[in-house]
Amino acid sequence: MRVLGVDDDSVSRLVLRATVGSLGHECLLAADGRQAWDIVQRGGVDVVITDRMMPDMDGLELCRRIREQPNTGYVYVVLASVLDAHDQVREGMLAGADDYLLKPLRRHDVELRLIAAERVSAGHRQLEQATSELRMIARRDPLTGLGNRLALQEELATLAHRADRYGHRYSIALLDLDHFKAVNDDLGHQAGDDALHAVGQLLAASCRGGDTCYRYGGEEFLCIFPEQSAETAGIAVRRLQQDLIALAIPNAASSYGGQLTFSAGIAELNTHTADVDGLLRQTDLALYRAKANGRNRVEVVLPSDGVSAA
Amino acid sequence: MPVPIQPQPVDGCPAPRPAVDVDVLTDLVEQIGKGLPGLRGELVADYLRDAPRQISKLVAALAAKDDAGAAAAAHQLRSGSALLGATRLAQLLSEVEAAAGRSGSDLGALGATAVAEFALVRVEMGELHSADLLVRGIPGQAR
Repeated sequence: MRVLGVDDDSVSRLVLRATVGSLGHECLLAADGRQAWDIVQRGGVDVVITDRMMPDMDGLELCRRIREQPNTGYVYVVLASVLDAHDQVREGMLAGADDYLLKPLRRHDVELRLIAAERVSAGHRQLEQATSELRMIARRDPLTGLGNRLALQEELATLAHRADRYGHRYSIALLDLDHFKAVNDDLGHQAGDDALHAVGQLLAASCRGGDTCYRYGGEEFLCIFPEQSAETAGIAVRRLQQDLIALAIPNAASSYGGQLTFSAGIAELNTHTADVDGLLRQTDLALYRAKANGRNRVEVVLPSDGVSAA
Repeated sequence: MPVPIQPQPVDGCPAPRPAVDVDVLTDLVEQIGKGLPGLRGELVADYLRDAPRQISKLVAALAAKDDAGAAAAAHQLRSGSALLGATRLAQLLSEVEAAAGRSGSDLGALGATAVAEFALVRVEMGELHSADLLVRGIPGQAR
């Protein structure tokens, strides 16, 4: 482990460094709370053993700051003091210390604290890793491997902020597979899943230069084209339609050679249309116009959809 | 006529206990100094460099009747003194810390005793330091 020893007395610092080193751990040193806080903020510190009484920033304040900082991973804090009065110890624990040590420090006391610290730190590391894996899993659609609706919502919120604040623009295409229910009904759900998977692969392979694709719902997908107008995004989407037809996924209900196709609605997210929910509703209207006009088509949001034309 | 600081051995009386309990220092170095051959010398040199500053602060605070300052200086010197075997000094400093701000306590007398004890500690630490230099050589000089 990497241990940070904090003491304003230099003999105590030297002894602490030798003690921690003799127990097989790395030891950094700081002469006061402020210096220690700078080191902790850089990350990579597993344990802090800090003197309680120090000029400038004392051990209690250091404890509090460490506990209020969420982004450094868990830091196990041991407060060292010459006083062992109950109310003093309690105050330290309430400030965020995990344990207490009496000064002058003895090697075997430090050893016991570091055994506990190692166990607790390992537990926190596992928890952080599991949380980050779960966060990823929660944002991925298992069937297609694309980002799911939660990932999309987070991304759209970020993009809307950028559009609003920095004037970036994005085109958004909502794709819906035509007559998809027929694939499930005629060929079974496994064939339906295979088709969704194939479309997911096609979209993922076509995503280039920062374009991103998500599975929006059952047979709906959403693609984001950064810094593109609705017109140029429309060209990209029509190419995707041709690529899908080239895959020749059978769909008896299709009026395009018995092959699976999709319809799409496109809208532009820019500084004037930074309301994401409203934008998605308009995109949906454009998509339904594409369906109504014969499917396997692309329609761009119109002023009559309630958003200024792209 | 000032009272001599160092009690002199008298026939039939035990010799006075030294100000620095070398066993404490030896135990500490044995426990934590594996692979650090210069640790004892480093600790003693560090103490000799730092402690006089704290004692000066203590003396100044006592002269100025600054109880909080005296307590802070005593506190800072206390742990290092205890670690290196200056046990009696550590005890006196802890009494100074406790007496500071307490009404009716003679902080001046207590502080003066601690300062006198430090003079003994400094001499004995200095001897340890010289012995270490004899064994290891003076840094930067060929022997």
